[in-house]
Amino acid sequence: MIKEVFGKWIKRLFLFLPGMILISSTFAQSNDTYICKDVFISFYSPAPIADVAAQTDRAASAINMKTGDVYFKVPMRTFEFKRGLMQQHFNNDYLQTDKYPFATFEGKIQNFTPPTGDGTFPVTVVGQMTIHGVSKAYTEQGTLELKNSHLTAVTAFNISLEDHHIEIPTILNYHVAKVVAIKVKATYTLSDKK
Amino acid sequence: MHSFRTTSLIIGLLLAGAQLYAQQNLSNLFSDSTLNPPNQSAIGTFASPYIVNAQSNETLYKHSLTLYIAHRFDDIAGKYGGVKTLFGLDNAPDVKVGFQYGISNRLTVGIGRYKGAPEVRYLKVPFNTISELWFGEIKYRLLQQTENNHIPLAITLYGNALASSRAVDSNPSSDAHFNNFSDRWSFMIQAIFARKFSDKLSFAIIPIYLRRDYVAFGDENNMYALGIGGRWKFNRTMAIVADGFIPFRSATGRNYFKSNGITFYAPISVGWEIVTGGHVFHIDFTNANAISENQMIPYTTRSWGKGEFRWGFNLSRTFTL
Repeated sequence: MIKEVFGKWIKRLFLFLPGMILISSTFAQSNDTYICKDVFISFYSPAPIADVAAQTDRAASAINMKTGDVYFKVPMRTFEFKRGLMQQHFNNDYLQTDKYPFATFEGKIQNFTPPTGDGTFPVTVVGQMTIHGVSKAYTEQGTLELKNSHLTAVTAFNISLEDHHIEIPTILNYHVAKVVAIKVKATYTLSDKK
Repeated sequence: MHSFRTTSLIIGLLLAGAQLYAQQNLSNLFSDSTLNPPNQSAIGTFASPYIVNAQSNETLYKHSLTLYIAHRFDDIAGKYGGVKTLFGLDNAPDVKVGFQYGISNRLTVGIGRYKGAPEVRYLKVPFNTISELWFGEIKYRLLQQTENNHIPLAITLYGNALASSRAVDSNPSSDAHFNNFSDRWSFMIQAIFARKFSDKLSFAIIPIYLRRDYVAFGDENNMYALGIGGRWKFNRTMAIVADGFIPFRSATGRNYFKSNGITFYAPISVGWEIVTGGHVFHIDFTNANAISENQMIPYTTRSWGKGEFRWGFNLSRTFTL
């Protein structure tokens, strides 16, 4: 009799516990998530007549400092060029931003151990980048700086236009280099989700 | 023991699920709508400020300078075409050289010169004898279509002033028998309503008012016309463009000219457009001799049906200052 009642309670406890763990673990996750909604991204490609260069500060990113997950989402239409006509061709003809409005990166910091305090950490990030609807695996170096619960991420890397099927019609002859240099800078704050 | 094992399995799965949930969460943090600015304007309704001969809704980007060169040859067939003139290549009824400058992304100004396309055939009524046309123009983008159709169409306003520097014609019935300086002028106002229906297809409707200060007898100082134009972009660099004008001339005017052997036709043009970076290149076919709308709308007397159309080209090169 006692065993039966006790068993029932144990069962209830076992049902209740996972629920608690589920809820608390998601709480814990969001508390470790750093968010930046004004990521600065620039790209540059030297060309004989006119350099192809543009920048945006409207990209979004999140880094989970417990799991090392990294995520970027870049609204392609927000890239601003000095030359309006070049911007129009970028959107209409090269990147087809009406069809592929976002570029994304989903990855993880390699061999990640959550930092115990402030400091600067060189990191290697591995993941999938999707630009122009075409995904490719990337492994790139960057630097994270944690200071007073503000996280700054800086990275620079190259993208090959071919890898993402970005064809520049030969007739649209900007003489764009096949490789474009990308720079990224983001300052994150802790997600205020509780 | 058995039930304990099952329970721990459930806990394990739930934990894994929670972990998975947390990972996916990062990509769910940012919705598309919050990242993309709202009401983005539709860009590239037309490739340049011109469809073929008609104005498109496009203006230049800020600090852009564009050089325009356009050329029309003579009739391919008909009485004045054929092998005799190598299908019109011997003659250049009209030539244009012009510049436009983008003061802002909305406001463009321009200057230039047309050779002018006076009628070269013998006419009892010398109603179209004006040449050496200098012009100034201004174009303002009033409204831009948005991609989400919050604003479903674009509206651009256009105005020009055009003056002839040719010598005064001694024939008193000629429209170049200028009595004073103001007789040399014509003015045009347009409102361009355009819509980009898809990546490939754009259309424009253009109500036009044309004022000519001095015209031949039977012609009209004030004239209205309706322009219609479209663009079908069939790949990333090429398009078929077409436009036409319906000039509203009074029946009395039409009959007067008809009794003098002059029939007016609607100027209709078709072009093959090639966009190459800062260049826009057109190969056009049109029944209008003139390139200037101020002449094309009231003076087109050549007919597609009689083979009186010509080929020509438009070339523009944009520099960013």
